Amino acid sequence: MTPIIEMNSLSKWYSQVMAVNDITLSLGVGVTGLLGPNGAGKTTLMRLITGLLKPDKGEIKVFGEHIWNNYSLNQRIGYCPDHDAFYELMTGFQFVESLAMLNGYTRSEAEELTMGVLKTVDMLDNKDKKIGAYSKGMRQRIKLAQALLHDPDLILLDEPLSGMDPIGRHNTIKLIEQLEQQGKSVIVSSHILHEIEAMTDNILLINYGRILAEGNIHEIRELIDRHPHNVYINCDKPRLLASVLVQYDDIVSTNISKEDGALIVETTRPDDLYSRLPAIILENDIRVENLHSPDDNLQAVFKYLVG
Amino acid sequence: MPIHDQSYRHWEGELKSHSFRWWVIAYEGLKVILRRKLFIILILTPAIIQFFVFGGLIYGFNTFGAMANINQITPDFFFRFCFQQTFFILLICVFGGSGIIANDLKSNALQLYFSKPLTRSDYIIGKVATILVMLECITAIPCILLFIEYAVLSQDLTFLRENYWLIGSIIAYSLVLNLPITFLTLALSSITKSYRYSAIILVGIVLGTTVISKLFQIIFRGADWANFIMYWYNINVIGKGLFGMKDEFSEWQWSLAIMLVLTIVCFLIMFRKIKGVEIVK
Repeated sequence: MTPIIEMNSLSKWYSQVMAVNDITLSLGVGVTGLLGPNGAGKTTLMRLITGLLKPDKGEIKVFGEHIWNNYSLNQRIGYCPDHDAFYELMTGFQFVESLAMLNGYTRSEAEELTMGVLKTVDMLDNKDKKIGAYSKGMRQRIKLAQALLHDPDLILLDEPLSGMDPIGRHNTIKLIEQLEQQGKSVIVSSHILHEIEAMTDNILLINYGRILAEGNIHEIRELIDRHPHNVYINCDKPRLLASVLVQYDDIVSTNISKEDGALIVETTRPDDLYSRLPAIILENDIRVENLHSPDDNLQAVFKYLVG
Repeated sequence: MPIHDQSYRHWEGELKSHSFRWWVIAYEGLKVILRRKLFIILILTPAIIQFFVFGGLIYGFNTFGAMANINQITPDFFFRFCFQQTFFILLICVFGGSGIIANDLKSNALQLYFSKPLTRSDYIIGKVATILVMLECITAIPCILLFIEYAVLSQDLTFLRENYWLIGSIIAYSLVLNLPITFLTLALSSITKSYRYSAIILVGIVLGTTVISKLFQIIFRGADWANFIMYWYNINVIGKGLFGMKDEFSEWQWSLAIMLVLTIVCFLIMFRKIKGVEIVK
């Protein structure tokens, strides 16, 4: 069986920076989340898959064919870039229609397809407004529309939820689910874990151009949970709070920050800590100004995975 | 949860013809430029008025000139019409052409274009066609119409029999007038995201070469070779060669070679700069 995307020792560098570093993997049908912090190489990997960039080393095949210089293959690929790529004076309809014609459709076919895809992304009401007047969320939806209009088999969405309002996010996530049900391959990139979590279970973790982990998102979640968490608590009685918390088994250490006097609690079960904190705060009359966990993000998992 | 075959499916869709993708680029480019009313009123209209003036001259000669025994309309007449359009050619390139790639670079449009089934050649041909269509509309097409007007108004077929080759000269000269400046405009447009810089450099090159040439002539005491530095001098000399007129200074083949080299260099710059993704090293 031939997977939809095959990468073999794929590398791409910009001068001395390795944007993609010796990646070997294959991807099939369904939604795959490409997860990594900013600058991890997600966009470069997507551009390599669409044939916008030429690999410096290794090879990449899409639908069993080399993608570089294979322009007809782009007819089966839809790409939604992360950066805006618009003529501000065009209307959303004109923009999508002109890109439809680049796919080889006649004007009347392009018009019909454009109307259909604008309805899909819920932009019909705003189709005749100039793109310059669109909100960030509308721009995202128009970019999404141009990626979907020719009914591609492989869809690459680079940070598609960025700048969208909650309704827009919900609709886009639904749309991605529908694409999966239609048997399409969708690769979605994000640097936010819960965004990807809402769309798929299947993820690729990328950092410094390398794939750190691939597989089920719940396994990654477990990794996060097994990994001791630091929780920062800014409060008026940090020493008192520390003395109470240290009695629990899951608390590994407590420290007072020299910079702002915040209490730094290291715990192996962050969920337990969060659930017991309100009662402790109320009992001891502690005023909490701020509570956050810098570990509850991808960077901490990456650090953990890299060692 | 649906279970899918993890391998790729053989696509059953129809692969669309690739032949006229470039026309989409050209058509969209023309639409953007011709939407500007000031551009049409101040640049295209005067260029077309010039056509009517020359058309009036032909009509006047046929009606009154023959009686007054004035000189015949010669190849020089058609050459002069084409060469006098150079002012408008420059204006079209500056105000219509300088942003043609720069705006795509500025708006990141290239990555979208090249994520579609569009080749770099399609894109370049489309952009060349955008400018060339406008320039041919004020050079070759009106000049051929003038030729036809004179042939039709002539009493006999003598003019047509003796000057049929002028059609070829008009087409060839319009290409000499239009192609190098089109490629120069596009090359400059591809090296910057600002159409203003691109326009300023274009004017600087086209007019600046005249200044440099004059300076060299002063320094080297009237050296004839310094004329070849001048952009419009070469265009003029090639025109005289193509219309069978003698030029006292030089061989037109040299000027043609210079324009050819300029066009190739501009094409190479453009080809190198136009990429789906700009890589900053």
